Amino acid sequence: MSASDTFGAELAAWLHDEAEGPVPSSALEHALRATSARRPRPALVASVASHWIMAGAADPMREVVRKPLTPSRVLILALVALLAVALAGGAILVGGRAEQRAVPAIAPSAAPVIPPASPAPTPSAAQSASSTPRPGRDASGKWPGPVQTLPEMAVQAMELRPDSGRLVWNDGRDAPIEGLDITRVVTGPPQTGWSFAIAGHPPEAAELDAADTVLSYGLVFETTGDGRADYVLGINSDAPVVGDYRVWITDLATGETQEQVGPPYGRPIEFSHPSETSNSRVMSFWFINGNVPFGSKVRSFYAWSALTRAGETVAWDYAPDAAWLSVPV
Amino acid sequence: MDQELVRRAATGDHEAFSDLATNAFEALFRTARLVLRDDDLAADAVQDALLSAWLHIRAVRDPARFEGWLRRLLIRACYAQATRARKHRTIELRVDELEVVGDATAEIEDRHARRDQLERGFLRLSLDHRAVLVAHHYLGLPDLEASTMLDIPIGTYKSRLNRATSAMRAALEADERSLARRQESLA
Repeated sequence: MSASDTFGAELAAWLHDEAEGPVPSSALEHALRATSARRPRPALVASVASHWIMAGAADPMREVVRKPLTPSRVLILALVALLAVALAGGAILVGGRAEQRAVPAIAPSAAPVIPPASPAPTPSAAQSASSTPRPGRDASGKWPGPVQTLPEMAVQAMELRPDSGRLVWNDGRDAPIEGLDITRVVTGPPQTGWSFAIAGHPPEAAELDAADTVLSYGLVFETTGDGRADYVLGINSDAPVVGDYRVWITDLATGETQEQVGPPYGRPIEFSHPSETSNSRVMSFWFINGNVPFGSKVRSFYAWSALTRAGETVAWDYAPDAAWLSVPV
Repeated sequence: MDQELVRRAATGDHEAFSDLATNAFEALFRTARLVLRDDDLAADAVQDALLSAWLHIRAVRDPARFEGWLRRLLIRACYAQATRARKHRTIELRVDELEVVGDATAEIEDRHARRDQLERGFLRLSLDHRAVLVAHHYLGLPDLEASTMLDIPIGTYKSRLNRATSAMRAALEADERSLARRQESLA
């Protein structure tokens, strides 16, 4: 048996296992109730209407159901076309009025705004700031982006778990939405993989209308020891294909972004998204084969999450707030 | 599939259609469950497909093809359900009660099983790719029948099946390549 056959057999076995399980008989009952209240459409109407159901170049049935255009069918088609034109005209009229009323304030953005690398914080800069932003917000109270723009960032030590050798940071509950609230951060060493727990199972990308709602998770890395963010990575639910993800990493010094939109994933960073497994609340990122593309070790980092609606980020979390998590180099 | 039942149903005999629907229901539901990966959506898709089948049953001239036609209606209903779910489901902005978070590290370790790898890989596929894999590996349909069910030319079906298989393999291989390193980094 070839590797391809083996894979196919394994996939088939898994699909059969996954298909098993109780089948809700109520769905059949509902369907039968719905059909009992209706009558099948007359053959002619059913044939005309079934073209949209059964259209397709490779459809052998199409030849079976296709009928020559008789005068009565031409009449029906003409009536349908007239109705469609009338509906389209009405829609244009109503849509035009609606467009005049609705003026979008902010265009939906494809990804959370990533600010350029900010200058190194200095005491004088902090002292001269006319309004010191609160942690996690800019001076206007809005989300500053994945990179926190506070004048100073504290450094928090992660707790070393002797039993596992892992480094852990407990962030507690500090965000209003469960699916955004990062409650615990876990990492190596070595610094090639990072995970964080979220308080609630987030919705799948397929459940979100990417034009309106974008859910993002990510990490910010500091690699040089100067206290400034050097790299930001994230995963967004706004890929063009519903249910896919956009995975990206930005070098803040150069502004260069690498991204993967939709499968196959793995580059620039592999991930495990909580919505990929039922009831999971863990988001993980890791570099395949440990190939960290920074050229240097991660010295400190923090995790972030954000919910963007209609182009405006309405909820977010950092773990920790206003601080780096230091890791042994 | 009993062709006589199809003929009777085509005359408006709802009892005959009920028998057809009952016979087909389980297979339809399991197929939709795989394609949509959501039992609620799958149930809705099957209901939609059966309703469409009943309304248009008089368009079926060859009872022998009823089963394939029904599967095709189901796939269309699956696409419609997926689109509907995407449009209508929203996140509620609310403050939830405090909830104890499970052990993150234990969850990570648990996901290393091969079944989870397959599940992750499959969930990452597009609906198009899931549907071709289900048609080929689960239903075991010949290429022509599968392409008809999916409403695509046979050439498109074959290339889509190749791409879906490659995408699935890529997802699994990425998992496998990283497994050792991930265990090392998180252990």
